[in-house]
Amino acid sequence: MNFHKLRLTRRGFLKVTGATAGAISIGSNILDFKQWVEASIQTPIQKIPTICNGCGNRCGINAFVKNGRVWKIEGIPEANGNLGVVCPKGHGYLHDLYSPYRIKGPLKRVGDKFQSISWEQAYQEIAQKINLIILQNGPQSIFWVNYPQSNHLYALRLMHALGSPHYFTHGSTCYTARNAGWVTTVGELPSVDLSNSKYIMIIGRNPAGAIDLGQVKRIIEAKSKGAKLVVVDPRHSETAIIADEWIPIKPGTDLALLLAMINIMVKEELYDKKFVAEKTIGFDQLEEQIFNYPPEWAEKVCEVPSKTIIRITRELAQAKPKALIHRGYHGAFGAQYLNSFQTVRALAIANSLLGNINREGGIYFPKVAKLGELQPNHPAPELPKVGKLDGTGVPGRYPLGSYGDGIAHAIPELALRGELIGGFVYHYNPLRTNPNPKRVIAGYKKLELLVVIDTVLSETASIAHYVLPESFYLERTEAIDTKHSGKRAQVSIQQQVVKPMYNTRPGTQIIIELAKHLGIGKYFNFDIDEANRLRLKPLKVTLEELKEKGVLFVGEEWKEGFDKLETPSGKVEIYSKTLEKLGFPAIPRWEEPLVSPDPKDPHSFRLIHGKQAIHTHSMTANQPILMSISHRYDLIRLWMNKKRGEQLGIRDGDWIKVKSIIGEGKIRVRLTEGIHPSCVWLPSGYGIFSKHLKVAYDIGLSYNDFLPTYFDPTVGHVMASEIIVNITKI
Amino acid sequence: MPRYGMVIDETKCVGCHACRVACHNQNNLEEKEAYNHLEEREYGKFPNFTREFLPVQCQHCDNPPCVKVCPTGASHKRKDGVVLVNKDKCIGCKYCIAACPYNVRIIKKEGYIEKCRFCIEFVEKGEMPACVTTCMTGVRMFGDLDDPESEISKYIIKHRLKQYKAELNTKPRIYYRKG
Amino acid sequence: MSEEERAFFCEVILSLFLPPSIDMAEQISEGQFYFFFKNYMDSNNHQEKILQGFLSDKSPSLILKELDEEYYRLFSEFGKERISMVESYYKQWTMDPECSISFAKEKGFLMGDSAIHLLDLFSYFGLETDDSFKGMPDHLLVELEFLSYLYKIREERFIKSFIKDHLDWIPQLKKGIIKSNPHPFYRSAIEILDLFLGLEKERLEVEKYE
Repeated sequence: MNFHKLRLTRRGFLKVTGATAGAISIGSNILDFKQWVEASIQTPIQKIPTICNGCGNRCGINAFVKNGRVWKIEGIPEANGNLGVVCPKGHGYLHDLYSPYRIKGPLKRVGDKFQSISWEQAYQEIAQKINLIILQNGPQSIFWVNYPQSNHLYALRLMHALGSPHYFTHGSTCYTARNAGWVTTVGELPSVDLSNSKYIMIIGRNPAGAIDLGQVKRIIEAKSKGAKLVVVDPRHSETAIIADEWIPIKPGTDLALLLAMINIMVKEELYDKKFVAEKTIGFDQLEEQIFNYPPEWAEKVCEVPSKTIIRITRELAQAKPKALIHRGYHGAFGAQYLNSFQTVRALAIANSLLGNINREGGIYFPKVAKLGELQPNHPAPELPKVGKLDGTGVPGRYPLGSYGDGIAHAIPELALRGELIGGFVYHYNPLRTNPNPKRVIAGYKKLELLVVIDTVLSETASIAHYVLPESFYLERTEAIDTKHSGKRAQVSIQQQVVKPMYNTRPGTQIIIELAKHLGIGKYFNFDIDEANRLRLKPLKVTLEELKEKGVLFVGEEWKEGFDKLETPSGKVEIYSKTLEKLGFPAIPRWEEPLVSPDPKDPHSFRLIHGKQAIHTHSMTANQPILMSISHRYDLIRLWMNKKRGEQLGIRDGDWIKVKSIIGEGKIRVRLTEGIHPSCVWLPSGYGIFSKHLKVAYDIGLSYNDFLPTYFDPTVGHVMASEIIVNITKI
Repeated sequence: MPRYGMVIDETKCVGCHACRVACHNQNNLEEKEAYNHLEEREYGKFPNFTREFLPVQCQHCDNPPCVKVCPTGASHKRKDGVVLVNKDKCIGCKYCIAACPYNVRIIKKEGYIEKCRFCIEFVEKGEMPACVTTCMTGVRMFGDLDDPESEISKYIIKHRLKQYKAELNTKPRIYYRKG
Repeated sequence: MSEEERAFFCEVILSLFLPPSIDMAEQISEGQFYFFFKNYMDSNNHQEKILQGFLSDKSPSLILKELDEEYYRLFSEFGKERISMVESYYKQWTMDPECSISFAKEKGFLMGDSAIHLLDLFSYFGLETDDSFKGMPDHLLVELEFLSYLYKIREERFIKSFIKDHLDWIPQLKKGIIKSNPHPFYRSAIEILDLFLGLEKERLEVEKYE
């Protein structure tokens, strides 16, 4: 045989390590696969606590490792966020760890193909382009947007070191109205003391569906002690199932209900007189104006019978101060309607009238651990010299908008205007989760440089110039977290459980290395462990203790009551001078939603949305076991009121066409008595259009496909439920 | 000798499917297999509406139709109340699937029948079944129905509980608290 | 065929599954692969029909362009077919009955039992994988290189069980490639790989050892 003409030149994939290889003996059980499997089952298991990344709740979990692979996860009983349990998403999300389709190394897009490149090449090219963009357009033309988790302080430091103010979170699509309403009234965003409450009213929030395991457990605990749970929601949500009463309300009118409740409390003198006199300002002005909103008026607006409004208000007041109206999150008023800000104002005031601010069983300010700073060991960069261009905090634009969050869905607008030229998207997928995808795509495509840091090839990653793969959550350590603080502060850590399988890196390391290549490395002369140690220093716990336990309680116990709030007056601002100065109603008043369905048109509906327990954001739809459940239980359908469906000749399970002014789509229908006739409800988490995510691709719809690009005038939020759709049977 | 049973408080089930996934993990099931399922029921007309989820799994009946019809004796009831399938004796005739009124048996790709086993190996070590511990609202309770001091026995005495398809005289060992 | 010759044979087959290069394209146009494998087929009394894909009268640069596109289409994770060259993908993730992760019995994942076994085997033989195969010690390219190594160090007794335990998925890989209507080059490549392993298995079955 003549081999020598064939040329083979390549580098080898296996190298000799120099460790001694034993002589083979027949019967050595490592060589036979079956025997090796038997032996490997006996290997000891390691337990490592960390934080689940399956959704935004960040539950404390113990991860078990065997033979270098993750073998099981379980909840940590002491973790405030989940009290020992794990939801289906936590289990389902693990698929991505060993999925063959996770991004394995840095990618550069050439045309419509992706090329693998080295980290060094990626960093050099990105840094060069960023510095050139800054030179030609100024540092404010670079942005960073992420879903905010504990690593965000690294991102903020990076942006400030570059001189750019443009750090964004996803807040404008989620909760900025809620935050602004509470901050304006009581100075900060509070929490809810569910376990000790005697009467819990929840408007819109759905902790049993958009799972907050800790909250659900505490609600069950409160109920076992005799508490009453009332759920106000246009749809019979999962939380309504365990409620004592479901109060269906016309969507967009929660403000009217709250104003009427305040009216009753004032008129019948059910409010906490002492608290109001000592700890609030503006009650007199409230008293003057609230007569405009009696329950009979509210009944016409929100379609809740006035008798019910009166009864619920009296019941709440009777249970005070251990009575609360849930502070909310995204549902109903987080970022939903033109009147969301006013709604939160009314919500905060209604609670204040119950005298429940920082009281047991009511609204309370959790004890958050005060973490140490990286300075003076690592001086922080100066604050940028220019302000954000999205108008947050600017009178005449979005004065009450959260400057810290910025307006994420303004990024495509700023890109189209040429004000943002390049940027980073980290742990976020705006092409799917921002309203009006066509416009979002146009905006992000206009950027001269788009760098996406993600674990999978999401919609946004698909159009990036560079994709930098972050290690999967179980493969990396993050900055320490204080998210789940409660009556006592709790600090937790997400730490590496298994070594990265591919050529990926943790987000914190990527940021530090980017900084070094950008020439601002002097602000990043630390690694994750040192930074975490500095943050933990004032708490008098060591990093080793925290890594061993996963969660630790620190600091003193919470105490009832307060001296001064973080408001200008130090008291609850029923009347807000800040709002008066900015030209907004100083006392909440009724405002119609921006749009409403046409009552004379049987095809006209408002489109609202919410979460299912098995899905979240755009990250779970591609997990096979979770999507199996969606298919098995027919969960991808649009909910519609039965009578309305019959009017249109639609039967349960039929295909229908849904159309708004910016988009249309097809979906099947679930006809039910459990939803207000004026609206239809879409479960979120579906509608994935990244061709790379084959389990999820083209299944279901997203409400974002129908939502125009809006910015509410107070904080600049998306007004996510201001969607009118036209529905026809196919 | 303990005689195991379960209480399912339907009023607490919010249909999150955590029990399906926990059971799936515990029993090493294939992607589409499940030993428990949920039946959603709606009541009333808007706005006087309510709904509930009914979690269903093998009822480990005291008068089990699946055991009666099994030609090989693979499907059998143990002294501790648990109904199991001996996969070595099972011939995959599916007679038991037809006989079971609760629709809780599955045929594995290897050809034998399987279903909820009350996580019995786990229970014998002093643990609770996976569907019990994973639940955030505490829908399920598990224990020894023959022990009057057990949490489950006291609960059954205190509350009026129903049984699923009781009229078929299968004598299930799962008791339901309904709304 | 001597052990060195078998080792070299593995190397040649391995090179067929590397990302295409101009070197590979030139050798195709020169007919090098065709003649190399034809010798093997003749001495084993097999038809050379399956080698047709190794013949081409196109220019090397055109061959390279075609193969680049086809390689991306078939094997790149961003391509249309996404055919996996990793053993774990084709097998149940773990045989450990106590593993309570939700995809324990599923196929289609990496770092399955076979990958972990290979990591143990490599360290037994004093070897370790290159960084680029970190999560994929059971990638076809690594397994073929290991097989070549085993021939070089004359470990024929172990080669038999290695082929049985760790290259038994090649028929599934072949099925996936054929189903996607491949370029003749890749059809021939998978056919020759499958044939070689089949013949080796037979040969090692027949020969006896103490």
